[in-house]
Amino acid sequence: MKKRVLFLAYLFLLIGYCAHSQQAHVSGYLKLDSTWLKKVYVSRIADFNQMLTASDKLIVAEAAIDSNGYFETALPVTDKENLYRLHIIKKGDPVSTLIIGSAEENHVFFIAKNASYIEFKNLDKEIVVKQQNIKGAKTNDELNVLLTAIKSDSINRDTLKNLLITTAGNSTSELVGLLAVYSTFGLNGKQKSKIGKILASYDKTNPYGNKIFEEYKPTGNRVLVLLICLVMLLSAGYIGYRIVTKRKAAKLRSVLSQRETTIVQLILDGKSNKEIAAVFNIELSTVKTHVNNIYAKLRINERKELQKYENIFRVK
Amino acid sequence: MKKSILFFCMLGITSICNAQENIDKTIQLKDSTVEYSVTLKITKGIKEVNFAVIGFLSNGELSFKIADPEGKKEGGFGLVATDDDGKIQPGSGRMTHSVKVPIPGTWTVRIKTANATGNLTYKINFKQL
Repeated sequence: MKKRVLFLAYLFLLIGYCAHSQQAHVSGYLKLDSTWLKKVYVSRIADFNQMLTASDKLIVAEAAIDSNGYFETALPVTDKENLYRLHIIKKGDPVSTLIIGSAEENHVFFIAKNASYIEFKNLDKEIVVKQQNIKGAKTNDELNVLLTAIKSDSINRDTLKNLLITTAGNSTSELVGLLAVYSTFGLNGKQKSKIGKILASYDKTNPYGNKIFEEYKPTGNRVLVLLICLVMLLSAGYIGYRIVTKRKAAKLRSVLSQRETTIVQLILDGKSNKEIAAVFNIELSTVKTHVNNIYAKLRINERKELQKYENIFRVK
Repeated sequence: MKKSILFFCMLGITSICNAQENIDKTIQLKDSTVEYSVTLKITKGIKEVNFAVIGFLSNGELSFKIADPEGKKEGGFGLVATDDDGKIQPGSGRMTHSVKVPIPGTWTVRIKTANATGNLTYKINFKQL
C-alpha cells in the first residue's frame, strides 16, 4: 500500500515537472574544420520575416560540440509548434552571424514543440550544414521539402507556385502550410481564392499567420455587396423598361391623328360610335371610317383590344 | 541591305547603352536611419545576376531584401545588434546568391536601417548572354 502511494506521488511529481518545464531536445553530429567555432546556437523564429535575421535576442539555447563532433541541448518550447534556426559560426565572427548561400551556409531550420526530439547529422563533406539533414517528426520532413523547393534553381516558377499552394493545403503542419503561403509570389485571382479557402480551416490564433490571415481575410460584406449589386441591376432593368415603354407609347401616339386619338379616348370611356358621332357632330359612317383606320394603324380587330393601349391614350 | 545592317548596328548600340551596369557599393553607417530602394532593370539579354552582400552592425538594425518583378523574395538578410546590459552583441551577415536566367523587369533591392552603426557592402554583377 505504502509503495503504491509512493509510486503515485512520484508519478504525480513527474507529470507536474514535465508540464511545468516544457522542453524539446536537439542533438546531432557535425564534422567541422578548424575555421569553425565548436558551438551550435539555436534561435527561436517567431515571425517568418525573422528567418534570415541575425540577432542575439533570438538565441534561446547553445551547446558545445565535443571533440568527436557531437552536441546536445534542450530548448524551452510550448505545446504549439514553433520555428527554430540552428546555426554555427566561424571563429572570430559575432555569435549572431548568418552565412547565406555558398557551401559555407551556416544554418538550418526546424520545427519543435514540447517533447520533440530533433536530430541533426551532417555527413556531407562539401556543405557545412544541409537542411535535409534535420530529422524529427513528419513536420520537419515537410519543412525540408518546402525549403529545398523554395531555394531550388531548377524548379519552374509556375511549378513552385503550385507546390506552395499544394503544401498549404496538404501539410500536416499549419506552420509549414503558413510558411508556404508566406513564400508565394505573383499569384492570380484564382490561386489567391484557392489559398483563401485553404486558410479557412486554419487556426486563426496561430501567430505565424497574423499577417497572412489579414491578407486573405474573407470580405464580411460580400452578401451586402451582392444585394446592392442585385438592387442596382433591378433598378437599371426597371429604368430601361420604362424608357422603352415611353418610346413605344410616343411612337404609337404619333401614328394616330389628333381626331383619331380623341376617338380612342372616347371608346376607352365606353362611348359607342353613335355617341362619338354626336360628340363631334359628324356622320356615323365617318366615325366608322376613323375607327377602321385606328384598327389598321394599331393592328387590332376589335374594340376590346384597345384596352391594352389604355395607359397610352387615356387622358388622366 | 545597307539599311538592315545599320538598323542592327543601332539596335546593338542601344542594347549596350541600356544594359544594367554592375554595382559595387559600400555604405558606412553611423547611427543611421535610412530607407531606400535600388532598382535593377533586368532585360532579356541578362543570363545571370550575382549578388554578394556583407554587412556588419555594432548597433541598431539593418535589413537588405531582394525581390523580383513578381514579388518573389530572392534573398537578403536582417541584422539586429543589441546592447545587453552594456555589452554590445553585434550582428553580421554574408550572402552570396546567384539567379540564373532572371525574369525580365524591374528588380528591387530594399535597404532599411534604424540607428545603425556599421557597414554594408553589396556587389551586383550581371552576365549578358
